[in-house]
Amino acid sequence: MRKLCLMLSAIFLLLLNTMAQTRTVTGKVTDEKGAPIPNVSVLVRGTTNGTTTATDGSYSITLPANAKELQFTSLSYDPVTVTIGNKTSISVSMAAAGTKELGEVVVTGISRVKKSEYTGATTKIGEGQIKNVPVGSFDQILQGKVPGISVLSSSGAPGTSATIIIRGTGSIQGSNDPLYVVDGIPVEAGVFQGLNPNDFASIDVIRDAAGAALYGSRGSAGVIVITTKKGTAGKMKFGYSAQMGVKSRPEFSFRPMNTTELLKAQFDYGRVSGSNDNNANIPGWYYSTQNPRYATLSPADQASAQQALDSLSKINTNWGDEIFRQANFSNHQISLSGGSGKTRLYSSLGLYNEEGTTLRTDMKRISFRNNIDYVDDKFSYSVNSNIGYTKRNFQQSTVTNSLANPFLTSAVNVPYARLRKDDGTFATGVAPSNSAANQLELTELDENYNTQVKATLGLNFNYKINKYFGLGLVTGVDFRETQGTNYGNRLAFSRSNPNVTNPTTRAGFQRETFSRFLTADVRPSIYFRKSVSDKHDIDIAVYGEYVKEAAKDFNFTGYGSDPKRPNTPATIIQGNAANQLFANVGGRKAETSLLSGLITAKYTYKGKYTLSGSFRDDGSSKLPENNRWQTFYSVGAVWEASKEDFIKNISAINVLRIKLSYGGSGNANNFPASDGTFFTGAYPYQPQYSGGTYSGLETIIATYPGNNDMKWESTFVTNLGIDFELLNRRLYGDINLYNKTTKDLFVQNALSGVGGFGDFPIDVNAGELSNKGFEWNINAEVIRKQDFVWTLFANGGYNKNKVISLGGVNSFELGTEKVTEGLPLGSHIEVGWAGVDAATGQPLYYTKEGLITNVYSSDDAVQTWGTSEAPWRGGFGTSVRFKGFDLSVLFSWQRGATKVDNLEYFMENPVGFLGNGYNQSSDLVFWQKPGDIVNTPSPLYGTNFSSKIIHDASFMRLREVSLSYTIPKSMLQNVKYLSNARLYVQGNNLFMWTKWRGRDPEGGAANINLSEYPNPRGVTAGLEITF
Amino acid sequence: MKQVINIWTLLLAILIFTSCKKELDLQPSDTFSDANAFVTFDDIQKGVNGAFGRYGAYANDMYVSALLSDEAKLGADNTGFGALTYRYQFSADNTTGGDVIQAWGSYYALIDQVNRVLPFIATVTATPDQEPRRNIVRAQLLALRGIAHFGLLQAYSKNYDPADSRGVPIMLISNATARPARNTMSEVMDRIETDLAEAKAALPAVTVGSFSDTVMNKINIAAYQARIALYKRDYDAAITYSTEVINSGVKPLVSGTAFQEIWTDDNDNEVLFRVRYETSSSIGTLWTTTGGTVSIAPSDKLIASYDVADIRANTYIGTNASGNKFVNKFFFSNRGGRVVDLKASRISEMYLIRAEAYAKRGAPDLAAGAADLNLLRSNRIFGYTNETFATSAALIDAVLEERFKELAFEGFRFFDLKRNNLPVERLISDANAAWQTLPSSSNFFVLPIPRYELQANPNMVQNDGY
Repeated sequence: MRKLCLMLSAIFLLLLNTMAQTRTVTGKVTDEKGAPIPNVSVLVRGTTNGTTTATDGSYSITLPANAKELQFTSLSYDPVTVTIGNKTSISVSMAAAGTKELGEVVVTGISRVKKSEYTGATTKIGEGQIKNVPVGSFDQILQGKVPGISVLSSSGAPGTSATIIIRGTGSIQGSNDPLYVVDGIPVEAGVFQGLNPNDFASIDVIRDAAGAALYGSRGSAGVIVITTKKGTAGKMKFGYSAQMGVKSRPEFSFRPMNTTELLKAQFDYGRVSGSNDNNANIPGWYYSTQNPRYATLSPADQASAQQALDSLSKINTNWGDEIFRQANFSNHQISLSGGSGKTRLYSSLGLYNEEGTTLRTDMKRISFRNNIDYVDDKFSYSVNSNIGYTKRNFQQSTVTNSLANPFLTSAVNVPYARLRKDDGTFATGVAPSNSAANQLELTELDENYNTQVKATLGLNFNYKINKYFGLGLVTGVDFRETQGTNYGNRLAFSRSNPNVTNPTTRAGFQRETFSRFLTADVRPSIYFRKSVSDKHDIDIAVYGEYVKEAAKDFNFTGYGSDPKRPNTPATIIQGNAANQLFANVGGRKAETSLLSGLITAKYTYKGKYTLSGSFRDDGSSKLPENNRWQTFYSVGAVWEASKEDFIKNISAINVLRIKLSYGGSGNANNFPASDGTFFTGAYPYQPQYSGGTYSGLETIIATYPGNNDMKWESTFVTNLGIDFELLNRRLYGDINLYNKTTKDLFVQNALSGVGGFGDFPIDVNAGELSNKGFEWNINAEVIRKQDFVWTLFANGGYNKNKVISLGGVNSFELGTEKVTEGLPLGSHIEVGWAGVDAATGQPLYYTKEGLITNVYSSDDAVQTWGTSEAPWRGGFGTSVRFKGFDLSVLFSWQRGATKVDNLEYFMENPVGFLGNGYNQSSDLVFWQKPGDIVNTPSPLYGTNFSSKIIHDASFMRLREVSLSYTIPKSMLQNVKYLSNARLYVQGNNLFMWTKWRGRDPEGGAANINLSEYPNPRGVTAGLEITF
Repeated sequence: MKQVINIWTLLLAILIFTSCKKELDLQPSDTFSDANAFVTFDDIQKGVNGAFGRYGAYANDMYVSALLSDEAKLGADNTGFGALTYRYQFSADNTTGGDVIQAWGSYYALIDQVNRVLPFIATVTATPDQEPRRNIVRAQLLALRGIAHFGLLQAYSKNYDPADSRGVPIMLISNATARPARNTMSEVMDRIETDLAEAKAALPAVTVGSFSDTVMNKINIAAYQARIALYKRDYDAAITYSTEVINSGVKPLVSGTAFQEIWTDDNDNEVLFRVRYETSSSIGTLWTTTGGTVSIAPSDKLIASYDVADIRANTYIGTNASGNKFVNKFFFSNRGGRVVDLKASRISEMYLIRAEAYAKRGAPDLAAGAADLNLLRSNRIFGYTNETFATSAALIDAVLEERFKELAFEGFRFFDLKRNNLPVERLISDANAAWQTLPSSSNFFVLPIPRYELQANPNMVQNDGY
């Protein structure tokens, strides 16, 4: 590919020399504030004839006779094209990418529409807001930057994708992932570690129906469209950027007790409980002289008890320090961007390396992107390709409540246990007191990682037949192959200790998994565009689309790996009757297809009034034949009010645009699947039979009833939007109101047992769900001077979610929540906590009627604890540009969510955990004597799950702070070859303001925090240079 | 140029306007679907095997009948298993009624398995030697469907009354989303009788040599016909069917060790139909866990009922190291562990059915009835002397008492009391006074339709009292 480009370039260069040059145009390029922009590429459109601007923004270019237009492009600014006419001086002002509405084009992935003619709600994030954010999965970048979407980083493990919900949860049983489209090709949601965000030119987040309906059955959760960088016209520029830094553990609100505190707590526990005198798990009481047991001991035993307690007191291990580390971060990229004549290319090679803040977690990526564009009068053709190779290391568990999870075990392991024995080996042993050492031993001996190859390839072809008609073809593939390895060393204590008898556990294991996912897309189109006397603009397009998805995975687990040759399948021992080490092998495959027709039409009158609509017919293999084809449509209108005479005259209003749209889309990409995977979601309407045995005979029995009436959940959105630019464009932004209704919502319906499946719920299209809200995106340029610009910005949204109807199906529970008509999704169901009886230390609860009781009954659970999905969320910040310095600050926040803090249940629980030899929070104060007014009961009483552990999960994060300095051209002039240089320092997640006491309010599922990997703080510094 | 446009238009048109059925008609590769589950006769046989397996539903009848009647009490080590059921504190929900609503789901699962396989029997491909088996497996499935409907009728409807509208829904075709109403009891009974009669007619004759107690055949279908006729109070039919089984001679009564070893699967004496368990110990663990925890124990009333010379006392009841009594039926196995088969029908039941029918029919034959009863007793009690009965009532009482002793923990006692309108009367040593007796008028004799069924099925009507 590269060779071909070089050859083409050479040919064009030869051609260049033969062209006649007749006149010269000069001018100056400035930004919106009048500051000169150096290094802008100035090109005669359609030729290779170009130059770049000097430090003062000035340029001079000699034009061939047939030159018609000049094109100004720069990486950080939106391109500008100017008609030359007979001018000899052309000065232009360029808008910075990303700081304002980028360009005026909405990229929907299927079409490109002028923002002034787009009827729905979208937000474009520019390159400036995307690049250099030190995360492995680009979706995390969106937090606080796009109004109306919730972006939560459920794990701080490097490369984990975020949970994104656009305009509120629209499906109960299915997932809520938006559709992701890269350069027109849909890509797998949630698997982004192979994509390098520094290659992105922009991200369009489409939240309305006008955009979603274009995708028909796949658009209901919104669409996120990524456009990758194109080569900039002009001479080839070589860029290098480097970023390095550290990531560190975040503040952690629960501080585990130290040895002194814990021994004291154990002493109090034993003393008050009165029945734990012989409990050796609580040495603080067990060895105490006040323990009645002490008096019964022989003098020798009394002395050794005293000794035991003394020696424990001298150990004080901070397990947090053992599992967390200062993690290194680096990201290097070289890029090549340029073009001559009709061809432009962008090529980049990225090396990303992020360590996690706990041991044995990291992500490495090599990504290689090549984008080639060719444009002439008739044809345009582009190839966008990316291949990414990533390797990620994982802990055994960073999600579940297991002692193999370092985030749990470091919190609950007692501090008077040692990490290592005197001989330097891990001080492993039987839980509870050795569980952290066991965990760290596994971290050292075992391996758990995966490698992934992700390739995306998109071809985009256009041919203009004549003035009005054109043909288009978009086709491409998204391919991903992941190989996972999990190695369990048989020397680990948890496998080798004498209590383990299972031969496969004792032998250690080697597990290999392979999975492959492929999406292929073909989308031909015909379009018609006509302008009549600058009054009427008509744009009609007809598309066909065929999408095929196929997935396959395979895994095996073998036993008996040799620790001397660790982590290779080669040392698996073949199973036989004597050793019982039979390997397990499994796998599955599935495929889906989608066939569609789409018509879009747009009519604009005098640039003032636009009407547009779309109609799509989708046929999908996921649906039963009787419902296979379903239609989706949208209609919309735009009124460019500021072009009306009566507003034109109001000088304070630069742009005022009112937009209204309505339309529907479906959830094909988020179809409910019994185990949440592509495999079970591929044929959900089909009954399933499985093979089994009855008394050694093979059987075929029905295992899943299927639902032959299945259809899409359809989401209908009405959107009213206002775009504005006021006060000489000092104040600009947009406001949107929406009403989103999901009909035919999947709800769990119990089948009649008569049908043969007993008490078995199937998903039926019966419910209705509503999300209503508004969004704001407001920017203000407080100061706008040549060398000093100060901007404030705020975006956010409010969403009110409500289950309108369950279609006659009963309210049903999902995790800690219950789906109930009239309440929002995510409404917790729990028994009310009424505190601790000061007289007896008993836990008190509220009955359903609101009376206080000391009897816990799950029948008293109510749903007055709020919802796990935050209705309010957004971001705000400021940016200051002073001479070469740029400071930008971004805060992100959410408000109004409540969440279950499972860790609190472990860490403030005398009976369940303190008494069983686990560490507790240093905040723990439990009832000890009548009159104590505390929130943790006496050790005589256990506690149940109650509203005690449901807390406000609102937070505000200092998400990004960055300070950069662009070295002035004047200084660079003396440096040969260097045309641009920028240095920066950046901080991420530096602070968080929250009442949440657990690890991270963003962690894990929306409803409950287990002990997830908290999001790290990051401090990085970098430089970007262009040659 | 025109050509390009034409090709494009064609391509578009193909994509948009042809509904390309084939492209969208994808079938799963990892599981069977309706389209490929039953293609060959081998598949049918597997479906039939699955149906026989699902008759494991009968284990729950055994459990529930014991818990609701006077043959069991909560064991010494009981940690709550079956306690609510035993105390009549159950309702229609999953939490309190888990035991009593289970048969609803499991018998309909059996019926559905039958109904899924039946339509394919005639059309699947078969080898020449499999051809004759099409009729045989069809008959076996029909028989299982009839038996399953009977299991439901016995549990979820009142004592048999043809006019009663609250029978159970009859399911003859597979329909996972069906929301049927209840059929009348006579409709259900007609269907049961039709299925069994049709099955029996289609099956070949059975000899002592060819009889198998693991599949449905002419003889064990007759055994179920006898059981059902007795339940229906059609005594002449009960005599006819039980006589058919007894006279076939396939399974004579046995005594002594030959009888004891039935329960450890050393032999297959007396058994007319069984659900086989190759590795599962699920039958015995209904009462006593594999760890030896006695959850459900034989009642003092049952223990006291056995004569010292009665071989059943030791065969059916064991005493563990702690001195606690446990259900010895289904406890030991010659196959290792606690793996034993579920004995769903035995020849002794036929003698008891016939004896009861002789006593109850319009013109009682007390001598014939006494003969059947005496023959059974003489096989069980050492040194037994025949008894004669002066009245039908005396014979009936004796037969019911004998059923109590002979068929304990085999799924009969509760339903025997129900069909005879008798109360449950437990000893005070077996139960708290609050649940010592269950009057014959109690609604608990009719088990509740599961709550989930009523929530899912608007056409369903709950039984009284729930």
